[in-house]
Amino acid sequence: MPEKSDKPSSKKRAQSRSASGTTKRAANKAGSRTQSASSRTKPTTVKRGTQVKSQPKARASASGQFTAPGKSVASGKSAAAAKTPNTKGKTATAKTSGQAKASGQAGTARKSAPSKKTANGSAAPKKASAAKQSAKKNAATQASSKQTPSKQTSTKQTAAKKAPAKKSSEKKSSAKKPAAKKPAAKKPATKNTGTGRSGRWLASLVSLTLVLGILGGAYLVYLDSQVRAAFDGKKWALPAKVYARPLALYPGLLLSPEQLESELVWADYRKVNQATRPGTFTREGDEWIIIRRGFPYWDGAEGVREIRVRLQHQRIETLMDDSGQQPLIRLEPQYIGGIFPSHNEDRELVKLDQVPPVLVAALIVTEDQHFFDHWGLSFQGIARALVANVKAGRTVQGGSTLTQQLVKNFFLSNERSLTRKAQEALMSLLLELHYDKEEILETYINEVYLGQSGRRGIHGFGLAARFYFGKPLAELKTSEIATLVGLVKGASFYNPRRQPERAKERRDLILGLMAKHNIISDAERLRAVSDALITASPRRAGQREFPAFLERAKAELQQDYRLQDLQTEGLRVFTTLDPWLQSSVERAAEGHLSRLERGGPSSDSNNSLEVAAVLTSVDGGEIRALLGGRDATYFGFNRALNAQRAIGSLAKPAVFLAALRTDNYHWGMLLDDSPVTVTGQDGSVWMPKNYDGKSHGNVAMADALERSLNQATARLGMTLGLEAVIDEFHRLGVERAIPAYPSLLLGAMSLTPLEVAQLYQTIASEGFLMPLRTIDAVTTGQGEMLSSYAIRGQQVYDPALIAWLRAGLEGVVSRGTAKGLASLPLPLAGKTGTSDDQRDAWFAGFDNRHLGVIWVGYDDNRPMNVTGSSGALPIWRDTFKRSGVEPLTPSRYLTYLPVNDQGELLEDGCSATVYAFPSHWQMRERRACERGADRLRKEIRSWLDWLF
Amino acid sequence: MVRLAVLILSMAGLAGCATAPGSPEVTTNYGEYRDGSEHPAVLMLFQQADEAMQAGKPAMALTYLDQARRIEPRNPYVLYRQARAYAVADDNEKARQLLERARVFASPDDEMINYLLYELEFQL
Repeated sequence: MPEKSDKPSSKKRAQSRSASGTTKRAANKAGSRTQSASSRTKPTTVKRGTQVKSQPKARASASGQFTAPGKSVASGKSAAAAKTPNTKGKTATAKTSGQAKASGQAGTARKSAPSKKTANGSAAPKKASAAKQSAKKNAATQASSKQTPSKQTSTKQTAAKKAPAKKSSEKKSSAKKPAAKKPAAKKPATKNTGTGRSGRWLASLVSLTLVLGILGGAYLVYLDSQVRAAFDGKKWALPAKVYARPLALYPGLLLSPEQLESELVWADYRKVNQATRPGTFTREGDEWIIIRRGFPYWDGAEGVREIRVRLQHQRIETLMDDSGQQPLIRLEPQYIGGIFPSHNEDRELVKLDQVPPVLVAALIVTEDQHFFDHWGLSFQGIARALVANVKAGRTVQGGSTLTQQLVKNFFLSNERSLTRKAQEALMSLLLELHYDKEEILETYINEVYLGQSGRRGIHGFGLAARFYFGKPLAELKTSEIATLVGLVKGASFYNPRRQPERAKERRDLILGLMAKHNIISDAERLRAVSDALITASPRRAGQREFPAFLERAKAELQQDYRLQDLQTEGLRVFTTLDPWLQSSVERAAEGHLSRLERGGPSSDSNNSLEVAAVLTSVDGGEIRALLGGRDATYFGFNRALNAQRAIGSLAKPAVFLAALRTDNYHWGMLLDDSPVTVTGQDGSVWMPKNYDGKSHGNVAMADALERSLNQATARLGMTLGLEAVIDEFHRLGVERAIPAYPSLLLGAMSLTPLEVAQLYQTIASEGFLMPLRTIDAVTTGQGEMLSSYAIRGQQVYDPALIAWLRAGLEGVVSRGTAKGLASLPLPLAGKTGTSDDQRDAWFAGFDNRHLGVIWVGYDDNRPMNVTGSSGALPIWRDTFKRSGVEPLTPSRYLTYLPVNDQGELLEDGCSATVYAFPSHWQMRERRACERGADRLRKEIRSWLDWLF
Repeated sequence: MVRLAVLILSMAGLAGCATAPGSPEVTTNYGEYRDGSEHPAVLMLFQQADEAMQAGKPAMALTYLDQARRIEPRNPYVLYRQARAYAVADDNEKARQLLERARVFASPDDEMINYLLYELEFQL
C-alpha cells in the first residue's frame, strides 16, 4: 500500500484537470459572460435575401499571447516580443505584459473608442477586456480590407488590430440598402391574398417552415449542448506520464562520464560549447556545467539551476551551483512512457502564454489568416478554396477555419459528406458563440494531430516539440516552429523524418509566409531557411517507451488506482527505473545473443534466442531495469514477468540454506557426491547426474555449491527432507505452490525471472523480504502528491545465516561455475543455472548495489548449446561492467575458522582450509592443530588414493 | 568478596545509566535529533524530513528519508527515522519492520542507535 499524501485533499482518484483547466476556463468564461452581457449586440436581421449580420462579438481575453497576421498580440507573462505582420510590410512590435489581459491596438485610429485606448495590465478587467475585443476587431478589419496600417505601441504591449467599427458600418450600410426596397418587393405577394388555394398553400408553407424551424432549433440546442459539454468539461483524456528515477547527484556518487552524458542526452539536453540556456550542458575534461531545467518533482517543484559537477575516478568529487557547494541536486527524470486510453492519444498540454508568439502567428497566417475576424466560418476562405479546387480539378485547398478544423478533430469523424460539413459549420458557429478566440486557439494548439510514434499519437505542439526536436516549445528555433506548423496540413505527408525534402519545402514555404507577414524579418527567414532539417531521433531514450517495465508499473499502480484514472487524469508517475542500468542490460543482451547465434546453428527472426532480465537494488527492492525480451521496445509477451521456466541449479542455494539453518552443516563439511537413486511412491526412479557425468566422491559442501554438483546436492536435500527445502523457497519469497518432487532440489520447478529475482533479493538483502516494486510516487498533473512508496519488508532470516549462505555464493564467483566474473572487482555473489538438456540458461548474482537475474532460452523450449555460465552470465557481466560494479562488503556476522579435510573444525591458527562461519561457531568444540607427520601421512594417502 | 563488590558496583552503575522503560524521559525530540550520518546529502534530507515531520507530513518525510536511504542504504539511523515516521503515521507494523531492519545494521558498539531503537520499540 502506498503512503498517502499528507494533504487531506489527496485521494487515490486523481482530481487533475487539463492544463487549460478549470481555473483558466472559469476565468475565461467569467470574462466572456461579462463581456457578452455588456457589449454583445443582437444580430441585425435583414429581410429578403440580405445576409444575416451581427455586430462584432465581444470576446473575453485569455491570458495567452498570440500574434495574428496583421493584428493582435495579446498579453502574457512572457516578456517575449513578437513582430506582428501587416499587409503593407510595416512591422508592429508586440510585447507581452505581466498581468494584462487586454491588449492595446495598433493601426490608424478607428471609430471604436476602446480601440484607441492603450490597455495595460492594471486596467480593470472588464474594461481591458472590452478594449481588447474592440482592438482585435479593428485589427481584423484592417488585415482583411488591406488598408494601410499604422503602427501604435502601447506601454507594455502593442498589437496590430483592426477597427471593427468601420467594417461593421460598411456591413450595416450594405445591409440596409436592400432593406429599403423591401416594401416594393412585398407588394406582389399581397395580390394573391383572398384566394383559398393560395391561402392553404401559404398556411402549409408556414406550417412546414414552423416545423422545420422547431426541428432545426432542437437540433441546434442538441449541438450546442454537445459543444458546451465537451468544452466546459475536461477536454482530453490525459494519459499518466511515467518517468524514470531522477538522477540524484551528490559528492561521492559512483558516476562515469559516459553515464552522465548519456543521461543528459536521454533527458533531451544538448551538448554545446557554452551552456547558457536550460536544457544545455558543456564538458571540459572532468568539469561539467549543466543548466538544469525546472521540473515538478513529487516532493515539490524545482526551478532552473546552473550546476557544476567535477568527476574524478568515476565519482562526483564536487557539486556546486551559483551559491557554492551543494550536497544534493537532482536532474529531471527521463520520460519512459504513458498509460494511454484505447485511442493512444498523447499530448503535453500548454497554455497559450507558454506558446511562442511566433508560432501562433505562423499558424494563423498558414492555416486561417482571418481567424480573428470570422465567427467560425470564413466564406472568403471557402470561396478561395472553391476557386482553387475548380481550377485544379481536384481538392488542393481547404476552406476550413481553425475553428472548423478543431470542431472536426474534437467532435466529428473524418467522413467527407455534406451532412458532416453542415454539422461542422453549425458547431463552429456555436463554439465561437460561447468561447473566446484565445480558448479556441489554445485548444487547437493542444488538440491538433502532429505525428505518430508507434502506438502513440502525437497531439499538440507541446508534445510535438519534444517528440521531433527534443525540447520544450519555448526553446524552439524559428525553422523548427515552421516545420511543426507545416505538419498541420499532413503530419504523415510532411513528416520531417520520413519525408525530409517535402517537409523542408513546406517549412520554407511557411517561413516565406512568415516573412511576408512580417512575423520574421527577411534576414531571419534566410537564416532559418539555411537551417538543416534536423530532428531528434524518435528512437532516442527520451521518446522511446520501456514496455516491459511499464507493464509491471501499470500492474502495481492498478492495485491503488483505477485504470480509467491512470488513462485519463494526467497523473505523473515516478518510478524506480534506472535508464543507465536498463540501457546497459539491453546492450549487453543484444551483443551477447548475437555472438551466441553467430557461433551456433542459424536461427530465423521468428525463432531466435530470447532473453529476460530483472535488475533490482539490493537494499530497497526497487526494480531498476526490466527486459521482457530481445526487442526491448516490443509491446508483447513479457518474459521477465510471464515466462515460467525451469530454474535448474538456481534452486541449489535454497537446499544449502536449509542445511546451514540446522546449524549441523558448514561449508567445510564433506558431502557424498556418489550416484544417487530416489524411488518415488509411484515407483518412478530419479537418478540425477552431474554435468560432467562423473562422481566426485566426498567433497566439501562449499565445493559442491561452487561446482554445482547435482549428486551431492540431491543427497543433501533428500537428507534434509523436501519439506524443509520447500519451506526455504517460500521463506525466500516464492509464493506459488511447489510440488514435493525430489527433482525440485535441482530446480525442476518453473519460475518467472521476476520470481527468481524475488528469491535472490532476500538473499542479497541479508534476509529482508521486500516485495519488488517499480513505483516511487504518484502526483496529480499539477504536482500534488497522491501517494508515495517507501521501503517496506520483513526481516525473515537471521542476517548471520544469510551472510553465511552468501559466503558460499561468493565462492561460486571466485572459484566455481561463475568464475567468468573474476575479471570484475570481487567479491561478488552469484549462481549459475542450467535446466535439463540446456533448455534454459540462468544467472543470478549481486554486487553491493544491484541484483541481476538473467535468463536465456528459446520460446519453444528447445535445447540450446549453452549453459548458465556461457549463456546468461556474460550478459550479467557486461551489464555490470558498464553500469559500474561495487564489490560486496565483508559481513560483520561472520568469522573464518580452519577446517581439516575431514570437515572437522580446528583451533585458530591451524594450517588448513579456512571457511566462513557465523560468530557463534567460535564457541564450538574444535580439534587441535594436526602435526606435520599426520598431515604428511594424509597427503601420501591421498596421493595413493588418487593413483589407485 | 572483592569481586562481588566490584560486580555489585558495576551493576549499580549500569542501572544508573539506563532509563526506566515507559518513563517520560525516554521520549526524544525527533526534530532535534540530527546525527546519524556524515554525508552532507543525507543530512540535508534529514533536515527536510524533520521539517516535514514538524509540519505534520510524515508521508512527505518518508519520501525524503527514502532518498537518504538510497544514498546510505545500510545506515541504521536512516532506517530508524523511517520507522519513526511510520510510527507517527500510525503504521506500527511497518515501523516494527524497519526497526528490525535497522537492527541488522546497528553496530553493538553504537550506544545511541541501540538506545533509539530500544526506545522506539518500547513506544510501539
